[in-house]
Amino acid sequence: MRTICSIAISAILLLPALLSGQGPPRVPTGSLVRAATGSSNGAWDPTTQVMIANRARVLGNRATASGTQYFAVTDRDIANTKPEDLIQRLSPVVTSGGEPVRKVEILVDLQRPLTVVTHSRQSVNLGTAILETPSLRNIEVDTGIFGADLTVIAK
Amino acid sequence: MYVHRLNLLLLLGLMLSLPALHAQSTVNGSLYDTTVATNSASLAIGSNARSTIGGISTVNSNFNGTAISTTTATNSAALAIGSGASARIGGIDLNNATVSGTLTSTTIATNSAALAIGSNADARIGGIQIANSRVTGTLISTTTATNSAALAIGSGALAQIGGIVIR
Repeated sequence: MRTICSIAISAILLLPALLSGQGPPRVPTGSLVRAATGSSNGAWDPTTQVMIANRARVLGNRATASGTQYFAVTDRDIANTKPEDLIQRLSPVVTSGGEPVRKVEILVDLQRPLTVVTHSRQSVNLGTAILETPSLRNIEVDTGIFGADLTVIAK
Repeated sequence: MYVHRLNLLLLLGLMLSLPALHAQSTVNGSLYDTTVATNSASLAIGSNARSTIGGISTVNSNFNGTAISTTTATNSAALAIGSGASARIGGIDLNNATVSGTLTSTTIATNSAALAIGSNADARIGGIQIANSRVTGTLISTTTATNSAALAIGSGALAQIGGIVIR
């Protein structure tokens, strides 16, 4: 009787350890892919958005000394843009005229819907980094898009 | 006189082709794209209409190295309606490229949809697309889709959330 009781107590004590070992099979860490950068929804807080918008306004198409190029599009930026200039205003063209560009920070914050009518297979890119540089090395593009409603109608 | 006109036409043709030649890119190294799209929509309506939000686009490029695309789409949609229409959110496009190295695509789609209607229509959220290219290396794709849908209707239509497409 004492032996049976000791076995039962041992089984009860060992039960959590036994159950914990029967979880889902472990996934080898080698098959998991980490994000390219640490960016996530939390990285695009209002402070970051204001910083990118301000630097894009000050620097224009120039890159900083560390090779970062900033680009921002908001409702205010395209309010007075001519229709023929609109498509060019929506996306940055990455070129290496002076300092090589290593990183591009792009902010798109459009709360009003935007409709563009195009002709002859013209594509419309909103906040898309377009690489037109003869030679590039190690370029990183971070894009935050909020509330954008882009409609392209081909005629 | 006829010869002079011919030379003039050749010169004019050369001048017109210069911008296209200038647009060629050679990328050696790493190409990182991180796109976060919230409450956004990319709609292309009509034959061959093209609408892209975010991401990286290269044309006539030589690429050698690592390309990593991370797209987080929340409450967003890519809709392409019409023959050859294309609507995209995030991702990396490589055309006419020689690709060698590692391609990694990570896409997280929540309450989002990719809808392509029409022959050869193309709707895509995240991912990596390589066209008319030669690829050698390692391809890795990770997609997490929650309450999301990819729907393609029509001959050759393509609707895609995440993934890597090589044509």
